[in-house]
Amino acid sequence: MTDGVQVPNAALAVFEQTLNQVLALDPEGARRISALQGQVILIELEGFGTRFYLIPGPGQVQLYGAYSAEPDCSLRGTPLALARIGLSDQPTDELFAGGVRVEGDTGLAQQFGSIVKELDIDWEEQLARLVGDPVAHRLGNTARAAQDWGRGSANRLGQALKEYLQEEARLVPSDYEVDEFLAEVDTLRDDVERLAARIERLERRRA
Amino acid sequence: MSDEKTTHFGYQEVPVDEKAERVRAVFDSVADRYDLMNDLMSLGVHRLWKRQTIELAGVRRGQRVLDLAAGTGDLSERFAGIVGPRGEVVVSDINSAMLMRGRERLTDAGLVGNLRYVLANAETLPFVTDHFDCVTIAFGLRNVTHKQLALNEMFRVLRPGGRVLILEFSHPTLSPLRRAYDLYSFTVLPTLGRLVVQDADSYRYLAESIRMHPDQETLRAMMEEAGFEHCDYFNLSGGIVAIHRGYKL
Repeated sequence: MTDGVQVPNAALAVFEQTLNQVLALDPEGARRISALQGQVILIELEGFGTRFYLIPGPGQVQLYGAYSAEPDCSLRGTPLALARIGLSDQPTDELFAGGVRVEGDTGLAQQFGSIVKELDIDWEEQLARLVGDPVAHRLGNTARAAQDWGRGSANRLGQALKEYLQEEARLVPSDYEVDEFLAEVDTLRDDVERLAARIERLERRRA
Repeated sequence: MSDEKTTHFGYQEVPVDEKAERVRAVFDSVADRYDLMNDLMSLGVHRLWKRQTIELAGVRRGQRVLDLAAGTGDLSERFAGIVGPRGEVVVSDINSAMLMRGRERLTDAGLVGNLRYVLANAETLPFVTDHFDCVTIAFGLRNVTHKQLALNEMFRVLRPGGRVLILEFSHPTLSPLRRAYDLYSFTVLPTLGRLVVQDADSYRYLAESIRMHPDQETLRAMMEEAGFEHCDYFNLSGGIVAIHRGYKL
């Protein structure tokens, strides 16, 4: 359990506190994450061997570097692949592409992924406590415009990158090709099963 | 052990019947500022020790946990989050002032429903046999008059397969560290105690009781005596504290 680069306990404690402060800014997200209370989610960074055990509680999460219990589900992947689960519109793309390996309760993994993706932090509300509503609202408008622009650019960049990888460089298959491939795998599996049944029947007749 | 007429209270010898009363007085005196003092005394490191105890406990949702000498409920708070609404955490302390503080703090933190509060002596636990999945005692065993009796009781109330976690001050393994630590605990601690809770004696007791507490190997032997198996311990901060773990099989 101790191999790999592990994050010091003190850093984890600070990280946990920061995570919970962020969660406190999105009561709806905090409520959703509470639905996963007590589930032990292991996140392992491939290449570093760094492990995080995340246990959602009521409105907050607990974060440990080692937890003496079998996790309910584990997500293993490179830091980039793991980050994409939270960022992409289709978290399942990442799972299909094999970037992240999921073990245990995959339903839980997907639920967790979508909660992380949908976190919506109300910074303005927090700011209003410090500087009052009018100022916070004006700052909020400016920030929202910047954020929308940022999100739009990120979306466009993501879309362009996806198209480049799928259509131009042909490094990853398109959605259509993946569907086609999966259908072919299903057909092949059915054919093999039919063939196996037939062979068995023939052998029985010979015996 | 129970045949003896006197027992130690820090470096003093006191009649056996008196120890519990004296310990109670110490904690009555410090209850109000217990958390603040813990942070000051350990420079906040006690939070990390407790985190590690939680990690080693490995409690799962739906389980039943008994947190002895729970004080202001640092461990219970985390356990309550993990075991969820189908689990249960019993917050227990021998000192009613401390237990009240703990209940106020946890309730204010919105933790209700899966917590129960029980004023109890660890030597005679008011619980049925084979009941809990995990029993913890953090910085509490030291203050118990008959430690072996308490360990036997912890073993009794645990379910087969359950585990006990004992977080307690222990004996530093490196001698240079030991010297610095002695200096700290016999000069800095009582001074802090005088300044923050106007009570130097309570904190002198704390430092002395730590020195009188059994070392790592002795405590492990005592746990085995109580019936625990696969007993091991983890030294933290150079052995200033140690987490002991044992299983009831």
